[in-house]
Amino acid sequence: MIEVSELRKQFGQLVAVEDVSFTAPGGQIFGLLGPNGAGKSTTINCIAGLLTPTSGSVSVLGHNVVSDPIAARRRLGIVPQELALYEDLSARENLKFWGGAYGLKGKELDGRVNTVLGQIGLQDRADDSPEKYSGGMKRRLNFGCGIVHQPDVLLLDEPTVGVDPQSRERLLQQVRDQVAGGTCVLYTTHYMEEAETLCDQLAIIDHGKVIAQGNMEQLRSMMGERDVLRVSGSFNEEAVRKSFSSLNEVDLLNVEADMVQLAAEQATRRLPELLNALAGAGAEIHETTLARPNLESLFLRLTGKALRE
Amino acid sequence: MIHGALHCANKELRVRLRDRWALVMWFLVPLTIGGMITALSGGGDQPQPTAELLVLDEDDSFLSGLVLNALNQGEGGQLIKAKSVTRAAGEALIEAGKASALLIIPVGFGDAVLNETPSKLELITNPAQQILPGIIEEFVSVLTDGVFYLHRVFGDEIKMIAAQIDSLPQGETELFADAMIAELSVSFNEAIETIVEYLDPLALDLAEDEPAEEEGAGLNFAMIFFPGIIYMGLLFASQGLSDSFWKERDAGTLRRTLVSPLTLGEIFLGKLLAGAGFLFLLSAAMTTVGFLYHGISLVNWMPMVLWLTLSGVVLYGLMALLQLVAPTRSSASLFTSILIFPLMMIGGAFFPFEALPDWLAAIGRWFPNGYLLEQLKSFLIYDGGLTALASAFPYALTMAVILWLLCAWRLRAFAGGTQ
Repeated sequence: MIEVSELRKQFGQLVAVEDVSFTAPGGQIFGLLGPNGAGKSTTINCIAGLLTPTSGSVSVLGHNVVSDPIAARRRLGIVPQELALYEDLSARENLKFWGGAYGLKGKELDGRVNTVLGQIGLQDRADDSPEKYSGGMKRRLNFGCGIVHQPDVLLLDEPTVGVDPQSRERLLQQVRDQVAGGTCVLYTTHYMEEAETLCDQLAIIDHGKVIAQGNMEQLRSMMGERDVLRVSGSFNEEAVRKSFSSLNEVDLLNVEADMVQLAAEQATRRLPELLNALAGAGAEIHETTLARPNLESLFLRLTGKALRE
Repeated sequence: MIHGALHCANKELRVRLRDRWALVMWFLVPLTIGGMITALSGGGDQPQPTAELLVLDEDDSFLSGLVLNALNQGEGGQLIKAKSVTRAAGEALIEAGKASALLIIPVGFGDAVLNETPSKLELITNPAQQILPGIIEEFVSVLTDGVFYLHRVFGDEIKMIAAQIDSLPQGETELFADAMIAELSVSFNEAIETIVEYLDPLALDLAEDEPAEEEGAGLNFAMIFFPGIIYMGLLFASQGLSDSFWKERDAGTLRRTLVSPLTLGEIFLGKLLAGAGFLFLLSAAMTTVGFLYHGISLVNWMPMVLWLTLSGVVLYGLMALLQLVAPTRSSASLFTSILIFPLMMIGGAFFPFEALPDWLAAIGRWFPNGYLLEQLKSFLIYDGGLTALASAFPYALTMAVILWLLCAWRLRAFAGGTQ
């Protein structure tokens, strides 16, 4: 279990993380979802002990990462966003080094190395150096190095960035397997779909703050049962806002010169009414998209901007 | 602690062993330079170069014969090899560049000397040579002065001898009658008595003040270079080893290691142990080659290798510190490269202190490698014995400890750790 309480991390004048609190239980995947620069990596680095919190506390399985770092690290595994491998050593030697770093030795270490090589599908290339691997194979080895010692808590910092679909699916399955074994996984991503399908609980983070938190059902309920309508074309922002001010239970999420996003209950039935309102504002409509409530729309509603921005 | 450090050291050694070219270069570069220097110096065993002087004796007199003999006598004879030739042969040899100079003693030289009339010796030098003809010119100049003073003191006696030789009938082997020998002896004795107060060493008040033997005097040239060449290898190896900090940082492995239960001390000690191991192997290999070549007693082998290893750890610490304070990898490479050249050139590794001007050597001896090298030379070459190393050991150890503590202090910030 990871417990983060009122975490704040400041670099000079820049507040990277502010008042972040969450609890990630064992046997579950806790997702940290947010755009690039939101503070996800800073949070994960504070949990890993690479950064010292300015204030607040972080504990891993009851061990405070600042006052009892070694005990906390023994239970932690980390898969960093950037590859962290010894290119001069073979995959087997890499796994042996990282396993040994966590105290494994002898037959136990050899056994774990062989098991992990099988899990990540690199048995046949175990004695090759990573410099001969494809990007996906390197990612898998990077993941393997994080789990070779069977950590109770696994920190995954955007592990699927730049990974081909096949390797990505294999990695996600590995993550599920870890959780099935009781591991607590903290998973940061800016891929909304990945977070939706993989995570049991989520914290949405933006500008260093948690803006929403809960399981998927709880987060969806924050949106209500409102669909999101996205219309592209050309719009006069002021005219659009004026036209929609008279409509009930419609939230204008975002209005720009070439795009309007709004949320409304039963938007399918109200589509003619909504399009009429836009036409009344002098809009020229090119395309419309209607979506069920999801993390993207929640993020949009909470921050007024798309997650991918 | 030790287990973690050994685990890291094991990894470091494996990584290093994969980079076989670097290992070969660290060993071969100083060995090649050492081999070149040894070859250039002839290993110190080659005979001294001698000037080939051709003498064309057109006078063929008693005095011209004396000149020819004088050229091959004493210390001059070691430097100059005089050979009598004909004019054609002499000019051909000079033309072909096979002699340093041709000395022509003209007809009438003997008479001119005896009668104190001018006579001109002609010296034709080989333009392709610089030093040896100069030596001959100097020597001939001294010789002509000698002939002048000999005439001043023993002019009459020389005239008598020359006249006797010239008057000797063809085929006569009895050169001097007993009476003449007696007369000449008395005459020489009287002449010597007139100048005895200048010649007799007892008349001189000599204060014997023998200067201390200059360092390196009489030593094999290659032997003076030998310890410095090993330090050159240590400098190159230290620079190469120190790059591992940036290599690990760029690969992200340093950061990842900091997240593991391994402590900073273990990571650090692992690098130090692996580096020291490599420096020991490098020192042992280079020392062995040098000992075999120079025929040095193997009793000195272990103290020298251990001293070199400690020296390597000091230099590795110095290079590592520069790497850790540099803002980028390229600037780190630049810093260490900029440092390594003065350390080599002035610190005695490339040019031995014995070959540097005194003031520059004095500066070089203050460099870390200069100090360490100086102690090793004292042990190996200048009869300082083990005391030289033992007395300097605390200083070397202090240098190593200070440098590596500074490195440890910089490592976490360098790795991007806790801020």
